[in-house]
Amino acid sequence: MRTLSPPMWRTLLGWLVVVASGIGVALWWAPGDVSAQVQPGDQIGDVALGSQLYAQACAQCHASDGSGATVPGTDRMAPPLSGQADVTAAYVDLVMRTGRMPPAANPFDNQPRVVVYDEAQRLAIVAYLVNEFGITNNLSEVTQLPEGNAGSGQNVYATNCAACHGSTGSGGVAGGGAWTPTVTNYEPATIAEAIRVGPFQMPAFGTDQITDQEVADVGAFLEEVSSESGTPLGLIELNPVFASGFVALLALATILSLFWISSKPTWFPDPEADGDDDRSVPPSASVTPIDPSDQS
Amino acid sequence: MTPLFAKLFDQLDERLHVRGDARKAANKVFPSNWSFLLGEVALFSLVILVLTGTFLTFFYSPNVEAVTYTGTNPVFAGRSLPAAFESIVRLSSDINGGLLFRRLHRGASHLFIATIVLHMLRILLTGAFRKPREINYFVGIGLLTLAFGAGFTGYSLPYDSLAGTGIRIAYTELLSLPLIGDRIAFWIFGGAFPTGDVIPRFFVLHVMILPAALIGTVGLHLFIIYRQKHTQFPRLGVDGHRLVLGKPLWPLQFAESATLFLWTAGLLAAAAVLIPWSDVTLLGPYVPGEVGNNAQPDWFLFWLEGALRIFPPIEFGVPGGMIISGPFVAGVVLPGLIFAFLGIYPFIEKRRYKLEGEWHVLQNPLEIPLRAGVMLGVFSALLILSAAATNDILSRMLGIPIEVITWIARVAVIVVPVVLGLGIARYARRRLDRKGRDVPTSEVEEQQRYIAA
Amino acid sequence: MSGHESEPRRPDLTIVSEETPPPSEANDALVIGSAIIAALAGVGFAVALALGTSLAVYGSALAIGLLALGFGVRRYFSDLFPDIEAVEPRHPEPDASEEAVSAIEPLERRSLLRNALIGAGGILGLGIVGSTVPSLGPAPGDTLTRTAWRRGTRLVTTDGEPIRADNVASGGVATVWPEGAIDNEISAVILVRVGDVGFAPPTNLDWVVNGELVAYSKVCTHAGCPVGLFREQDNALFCPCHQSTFDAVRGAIPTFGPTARALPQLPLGTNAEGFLIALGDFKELVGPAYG
Repeated sequence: MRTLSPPMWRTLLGWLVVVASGIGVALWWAPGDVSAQVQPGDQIGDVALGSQLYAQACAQCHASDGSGATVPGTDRMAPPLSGQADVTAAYVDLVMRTGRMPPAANPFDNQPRVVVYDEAQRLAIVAYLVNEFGITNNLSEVTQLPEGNAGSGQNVYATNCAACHGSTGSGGVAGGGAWTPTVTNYEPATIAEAIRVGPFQMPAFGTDQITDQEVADVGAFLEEVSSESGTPLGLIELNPVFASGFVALLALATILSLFWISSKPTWFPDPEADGDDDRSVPPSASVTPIDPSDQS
Repeated sequence: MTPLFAKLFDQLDERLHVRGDARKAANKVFPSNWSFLLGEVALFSLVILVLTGTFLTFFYSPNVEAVTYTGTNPVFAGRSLPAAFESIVRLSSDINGGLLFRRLHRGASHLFIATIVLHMLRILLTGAFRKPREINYFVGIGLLTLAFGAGFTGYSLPYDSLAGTGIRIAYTELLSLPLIGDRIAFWIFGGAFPTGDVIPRFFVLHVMILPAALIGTVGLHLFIIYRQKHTQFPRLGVDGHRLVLGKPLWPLQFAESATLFLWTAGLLAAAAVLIPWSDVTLLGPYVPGEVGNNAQPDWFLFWLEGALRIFPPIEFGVPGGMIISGPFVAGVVLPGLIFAFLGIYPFIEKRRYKLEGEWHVLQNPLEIPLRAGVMLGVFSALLILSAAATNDILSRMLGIPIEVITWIARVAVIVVPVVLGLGIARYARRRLDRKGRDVPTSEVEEQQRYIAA
Repeated sequence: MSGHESEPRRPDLTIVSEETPPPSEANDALVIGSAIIAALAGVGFAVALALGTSLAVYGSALAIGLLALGFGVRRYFSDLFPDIEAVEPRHPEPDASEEAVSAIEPLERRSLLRNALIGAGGILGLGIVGSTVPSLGPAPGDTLTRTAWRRGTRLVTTDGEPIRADNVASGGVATVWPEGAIDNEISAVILVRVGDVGFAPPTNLDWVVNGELVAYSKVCTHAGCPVGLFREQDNALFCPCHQSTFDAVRGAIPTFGPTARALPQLPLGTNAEGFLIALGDFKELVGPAYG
């Protein structure tokens, strides 16, 4: 599906050439589209820490050279990280920001995750990948955004995002065993990375389609949604399915009230009563069944 | 009665001579049971709907022309919005108490339809539709239909993105009518979707035609029940077919109703605090060509939505230029069958058991195997269809692919009602056999059995 | 009320059981207590609303006031009146006589006269309804079979910008409209740029640009929802309303869900300036089937 990239050895060879030439600036002019925009990773984060973390948490599946390997316990391959045109710094940053990587257990279960790394650790790994595998460093290009406007963001969101992530970002279903994640509670930078790289099943959107300003607006809209105060139960906008659950609760509360209202009223005992507390008055009519044979 | 009230009543009586009728009404006996109050809750919900709806009408603008919103809502400030949606944002964000009234109105609409449905279930299960109450039963079905209409038009009026999608699907359903669908859709919508006419027309339906019809039909429903007297549950020592046993209208039934009205309103107010059912502003205005994920109608139409979702991909032409499509079968034929079933069921039962005479005492549905089986079958089918309308939410919550859930629903909607319906009917038949009984065909027969026991 | 009369106390009420509540100061306290709470809640509601506090505050005041008042009303009535069960006959009056409703009998006349009037009334009514209803909306004409796409119409975004083939990212989608007819619902199109997977029949390859750009009607052939969701990895278009799924590299044929028909493919091309254009209208029915 994606463009097949040159094999890893070519990238390594490119690096060898670069290093051997001994020209620092050659980094900026190195041949091949993959390394064209590469900046030194140490501008991003602590490469040494990144190297250590990569060896601990990533290398088992993605291989220490980033070429990908079979995930233990499954028969599926972890995607290669090096030499892939679409594996960029923004992409790897995104999967760690959202907790998609590293996974606690089965990486293919398509379930929500907890975020493992803090910002310094995450950026260290990104820096290591940029340095070591030469993945494109588009981090600042993607995440540096102008001030967003929630109003126009709602418009952009409704046109481009709502069909998959729901009108208020609560996520939804994509079919084929895929679900779309909840997108509130993310920083605008995370939203921007997702829009630009189009992770997994998600289509990517370039700047021709959604400008940086519009990306910032979407981020502002989603921040606005997550900052809505909501009801004392913490609810903001209710999908009709959840609303139906509350209708059931309301009906239940109503029925309980009906039991109470139709029940015999509780009377307090008469303090002056002499023990014989029978307040009933003899009936004035008999209601025994009428013999049907008496009826005409 | 207080002296002041008595004096006023005397003045009224001197002019209208109502004392005799009033006394008769005050002494009228109402059988008491919690389930007999469900209809009353629906009535009070309708009162609250009219009151809150009147307030909302003062602010709502029934058209879709673009206007600029100048209020305080940060998401919409300065934006050009369809006037209907703009007025909803204004009501929710800028008019003091507006959101409370919107939530009360929406909550009351849910409670209105929920109690109508529960009330109808009680009628169907206990046989309160039997002679002489067939007319009121039909009036009740009419009320349910009107309530659905009012609910759907009300859901549509805010013109948010869910509302627009709902209107689009309603338009599709009209179009799907064979031969005349396009004409009828254009007559109702005033042209091809989305016209500027649909919101003003739905508005007139929602605030004038349907409420007037609802209030008139409720009046007829109450008049008939007043005239025919209420059914009652069987009670030892009471011949319920000839006597009504219960509480006099004044003061005991009145006290119940007054409490009930205040509690209905109170529960709705509490719900309005806790539950944001009408908060549609974050969904944004309807934009043609866009829809959000997780789009559903309100719960009372889930069964139709579910049918649309799980109906197999079928579409075929019929000689004569007709096209029979999935949405036609699932969205027009199916509800037609359900309502036809509701309409003719009393006659099916009458014919099956050769029932005769009038019937005023409510029955345990297990005493009539056909009723037990058919009701459980039909309502389990409706519940499974309703669950199918939530297949996207279920898929996400359970982590099961939606295709799997859809297939489960496709099978379950056929198998489960048949198994449950036949099972309960068989159980009811055996239960009768064990007790050495048969379905009583007339009240006289039941009475004789009762005396013998 | 009837309770103050002498014997017979209630000539028109047949009582089967009657219990009188004992006088109770505890009950008085409950009634007064709920009255005070309800009154305070009423004041609280008015003040909170006037001060513009949140719905949680004044809504709670309203709920408490109504529930307290309801409780008080019930306690008040249960203490004020005896608890009574009464009976009345279901059929108090003898059955109606066999006589006609009206006392005035018609004279002998030919039934033709009556039938003529009934028939004429029916025809008149039908005429009025039959001529009024059609003016509620225009005749459909070709509005359901033709969209706003014509040969040479440029594809524009929701903002009205014309677009080029490379404006859509690889594996990306865009919602586009015919230029000059944005928001014309039936003309909505979803433009898909698939990766280099290659198209298979029944895709019309003449309408594929650069071997990877294809455009389909965005109006679902099932119920008319916008088919807005694209799964990049299996090139599936998915309708969020009823889950109809279409294969974007096989002419958008349905692969799952309730729809039976493929999304019509828009004849797509580029003009001299490199902008994407339509080469004509859709060749199949757009959107749901209709009568």
